[in-house]
Amino acid sequence: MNLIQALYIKNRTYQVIGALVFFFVLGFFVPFFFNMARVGFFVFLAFFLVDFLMLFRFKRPLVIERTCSEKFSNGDDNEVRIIIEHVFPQNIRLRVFDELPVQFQERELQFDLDLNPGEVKTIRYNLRPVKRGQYEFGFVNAFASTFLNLVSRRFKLGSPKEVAVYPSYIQMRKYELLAISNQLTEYGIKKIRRIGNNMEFEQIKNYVSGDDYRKINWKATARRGGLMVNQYQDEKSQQVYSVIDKGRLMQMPFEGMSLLDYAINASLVISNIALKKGDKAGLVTFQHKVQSILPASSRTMQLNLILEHLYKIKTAYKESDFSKLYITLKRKVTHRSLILLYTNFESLSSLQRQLQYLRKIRQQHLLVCIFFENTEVSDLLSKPASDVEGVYVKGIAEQLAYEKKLIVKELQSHGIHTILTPPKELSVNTINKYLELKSRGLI
Amino acid sequence: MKVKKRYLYFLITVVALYTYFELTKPAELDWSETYHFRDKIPFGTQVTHDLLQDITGGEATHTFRTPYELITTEANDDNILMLSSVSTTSKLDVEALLEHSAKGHTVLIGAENFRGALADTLGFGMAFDEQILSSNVSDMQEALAGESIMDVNFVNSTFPNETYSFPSVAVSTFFIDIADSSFETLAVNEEDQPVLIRYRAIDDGALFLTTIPLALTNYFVLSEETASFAESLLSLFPEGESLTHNEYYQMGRMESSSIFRFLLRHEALRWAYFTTLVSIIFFVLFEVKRRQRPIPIMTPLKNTTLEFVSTLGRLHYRQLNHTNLAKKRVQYWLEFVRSHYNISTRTLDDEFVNELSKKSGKDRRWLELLSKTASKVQEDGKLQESELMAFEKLLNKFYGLESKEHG
Repeated sequence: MNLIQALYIKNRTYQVIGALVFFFVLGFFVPFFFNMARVGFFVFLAFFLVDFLMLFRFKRPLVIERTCSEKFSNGDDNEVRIIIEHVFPQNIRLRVFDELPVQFQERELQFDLDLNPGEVKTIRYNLRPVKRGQYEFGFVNAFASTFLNLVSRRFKLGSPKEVAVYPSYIQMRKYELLAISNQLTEYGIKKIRRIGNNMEFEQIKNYVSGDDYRKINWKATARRGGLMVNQYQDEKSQQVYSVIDKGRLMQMPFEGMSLLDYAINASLVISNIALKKGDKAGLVTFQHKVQSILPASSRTMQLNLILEHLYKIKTAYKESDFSKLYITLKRKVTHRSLILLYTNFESLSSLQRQLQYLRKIRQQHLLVCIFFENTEVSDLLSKPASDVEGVYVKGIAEQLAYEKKLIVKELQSHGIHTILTPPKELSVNTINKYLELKSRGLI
Repeated sequence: MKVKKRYLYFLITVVALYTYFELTKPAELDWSETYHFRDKIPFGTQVTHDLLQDITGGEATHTFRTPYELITTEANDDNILMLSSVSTTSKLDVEALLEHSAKGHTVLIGAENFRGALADTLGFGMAFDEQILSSNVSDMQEALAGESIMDVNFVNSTFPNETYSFPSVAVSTFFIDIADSSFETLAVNEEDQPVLIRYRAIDDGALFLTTIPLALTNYFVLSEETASFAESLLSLFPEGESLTHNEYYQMGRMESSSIFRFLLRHEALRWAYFTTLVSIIFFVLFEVKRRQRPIPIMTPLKNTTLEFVSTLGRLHYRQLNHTNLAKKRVQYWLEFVRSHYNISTRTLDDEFVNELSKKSGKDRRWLELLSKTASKVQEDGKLQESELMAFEKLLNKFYGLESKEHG
């Protein structure tokens, strides 16, 4: 029974049979072909048997193992490797189907490879999940065939595996290094204008060329007999709250990933950087009411807490209630903090409804309102219209894009900082804003 | 699972009850007209066949071949009896039959309706008793036992001068348009319409046609009133000569007429056939097997922005307020100019165009055109469709969209 289950017939067999049938029919008219086809038929049967035996002679001739990390990073490419070993004494061809988690909806992932005797091969491919949660890998199905290519044997190997897709920790690591080493500029990601000076005194150190000579501490220089400079550092221990709107408007997907997940990824990145810079990171999520608060802290555990917290965020995409958010922030966040509010406004009127609460929040905190440029609209705008209807559609698209800019103006006029960003560049723009605000000493 | 079992029991009970009632129901008589020599049903011809044996003095032969095949390829030398509801002889059949009868054989063709080449070749027509046809014959048994009677008489002196009463459903058709020169009328119904005729053009043998093939079925042969009519009909065949009952036109070819018979007869084709068959079975068995686990369909989130925008766009397009739309576009354009080139857009005068031209590096002439259109729109000037399209072209040029398309 297992044997039958593992046995698959290749197309070549059907082709050969088709040819044989053709010659049998031809043999009806010319008897010579009939004899030929009859001989061919038995030769084919013999080959079929040989092929079958070559494949089924061994009990476990193939070893396949899938390796991938335990946690996947949402929205990024995650590498999966399939390692294949075999003990067949001849060359074999393999067609490998990996049973991917259903979330990918991938039905045609297949790899064809040729293996020499004793050869070990590795298949590598990347997966980009767009949703957080549990993902289940199934078996790795391999179909082995020989050079005869008449039958193939199925191997169901590798073990099913569960993988958790976490908010993008890959981005977190990437931007961490860049931000610490101030390299965001070098990568051409964005120019940071560092306005103002950090006035928090850190230490006096020996002058080395390149230090700002305006900062030379003459008293210390006189005492030591060498040039000494004052060194300053960014202010520390400021609170940075990522406030994530889980409401209806955050459901919209771009490149398959919802705005909510973009916001979650960015919160993780920014929390990590804030912690690395010595600040306290916290987290608030809300929809129709405030659903979770992770108080800001700079403990070593904090980043993990934030990661787990972000991983578990669930939402019903209800209408967000900003008044509840204001009340909660007023009660629970007593220190002046940097509030990074991830939300989305599609029109000026929808902003107007919430503006009073945002202004209230701003009175106590430094509020940065982060919302998203609609890249679908931008794409539409970058194509010339061919007919009048197209012009109308474009006109409406321009109006929508214009309104986003009006929203920015409106918020800025009330002293609320804004980031209007394409979803893809959210993390970078948020980090830059954070660094800018810190260097300007606005918190 | 429990619920499912309940349904299953219910289903089994229903099926069992249905089977029981079907089995215990009194068997219905089959009133179909088969004219088949083995059928004991009313309109089969088993009894007739027993009678035929008396005439031929031996077993009457049967065939499901066409008369043409029978006569030309098998060189049959018998008298021929053909019974069917509808006779659809082909031209070849008719020629063969005429030839056959000319050789001295007797042919009797009984059909309620003659179609095809026979009527045309011999030159006669068919008619129907409208009254009988219009009466609804849903239950044959009732119709046969009914009051409606049609009498049939022989008109030829060689036959007994008797009147046979048939139920009128059995004698619903008759011949018309028959020329005395070519046909001899042997029997008529009570309205003097011929129901049995003989083709005169044949001297040696004989060709008879009748519209009462039912008279030779079990039902009428066994019925006392009509039995002697059947006898008279059969007596048309000379005694002692062998007879073939051709059932082709009622039953069709009863032997396996499919292409498989041909295929299986030749070895090469038999090989081809069985190889194909087996490989198809293998194909089905092996190709239905899964190659990986099934993946349920999950619909991904959909970004409906584009739909939203184009719906809104079409809505505006219906109103065709070009100026209103152009205003939106001017708004966006001016915002673009303000944010990209830091130029005040309060007045769209020469100075503005100059500065814009300098800062953007674009040709002054069409920038002027652009700003003119823009100020016209701002002042609520009416805009034609062509102007709107021209405006779109200018804007594209300004945003550098067309160059992108080419590049």
